[in-house]
Amino acid sequence: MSSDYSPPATPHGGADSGAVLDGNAAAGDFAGILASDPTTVMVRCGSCGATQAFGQLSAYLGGPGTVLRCRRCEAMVARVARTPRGTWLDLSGSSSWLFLPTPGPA
Amino acid sequence: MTDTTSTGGQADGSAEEAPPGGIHWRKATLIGLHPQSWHSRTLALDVPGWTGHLPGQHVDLRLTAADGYSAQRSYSLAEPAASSRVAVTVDLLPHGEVSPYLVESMELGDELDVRGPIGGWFVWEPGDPSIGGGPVLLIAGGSGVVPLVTMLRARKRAGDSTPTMLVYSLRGPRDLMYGPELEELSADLSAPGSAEVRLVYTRKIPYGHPRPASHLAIEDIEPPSAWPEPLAVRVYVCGSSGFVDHATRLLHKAGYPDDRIRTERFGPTGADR
Repeated sequence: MSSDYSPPATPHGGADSGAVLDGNAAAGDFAGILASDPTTVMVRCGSCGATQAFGQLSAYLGGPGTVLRCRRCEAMVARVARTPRGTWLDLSGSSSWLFLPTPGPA
Repeated sequence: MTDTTSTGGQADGSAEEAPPGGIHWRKATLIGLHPQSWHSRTLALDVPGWTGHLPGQHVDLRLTAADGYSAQRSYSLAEPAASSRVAVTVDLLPHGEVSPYLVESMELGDELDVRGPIGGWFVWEPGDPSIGGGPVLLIAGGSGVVPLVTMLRARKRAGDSTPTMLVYSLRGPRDLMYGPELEELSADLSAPGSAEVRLVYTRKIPYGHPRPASHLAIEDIEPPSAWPEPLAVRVYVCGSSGFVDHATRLLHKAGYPDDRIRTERFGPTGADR
């Protein structure tokens, strides 16, 4: 994985083709909030019911906050936004998060 | 951005009192540089307190300018874990904000902030029971080869003989990363740690290359004759979002179910804070 970006950034997540990444790219952000590695968590979409690993969700970075969408139906599953008031975590688009036990030092 | 005054990591409000093993920003010093292709280089960093990582994981790097402006980007770890040494291979994006500094300007002794290791999904640890005896298929688009080479290195170091093939899609000869290493790895397929390597040039081929230049096709991911079974038990795909989508479609066509495919996409992001 490598990432860099070309200004100007598109406002409001506009048609900036190729800017859709995956949950791996948002993992650093969420790792500061969750106690364990987020990428292996199985997330169930609240809209279509599809279950996918956090690492496979579509990630939209660079807007106001980070938005994660279901790869199947594109509904918003989770988002995190850092503001002067604090960090907002919105999981309303997901119906469950399954944390699997993972070996390894991560 | 030419100045990297570390700010100790208060910029993004992440928990600095992270639990042991948790993720927080650490200061890192550049201790090694190695050109990799015409537009990429490998940077080795010393990160005091680093507790190791798994093949396929990545780190976030953060640069902070003298005026306090900071930018962070994600890069795959380019070497298996070894003490406090952390390496990344960075591809230059001409209009990027961070990669030009990392590829062209940063000098030995310079500092930046590192956070990680991150991610347990796009990981292949030698001996992983869910992979068992393999085979394993690695598919790289451009600099997506970096985490896959790290996996191959870890496999070789562990003496793991899981049948493995790397399919590496790249534009032309001057874009090749890890050329000598991949040649050595695939020269003698009976040697321990060796792997089949297929180079898929999309625009320009080196003299004598048997495959004409064209995009990744279903033939390119057909199993080598030596594989005990037609489908790999696990496929790792890393590249740009478009490449990953294309490769995933080919894999589906070849009969791979989703639960055997693990992907990691990279691309231009504006993940600045």
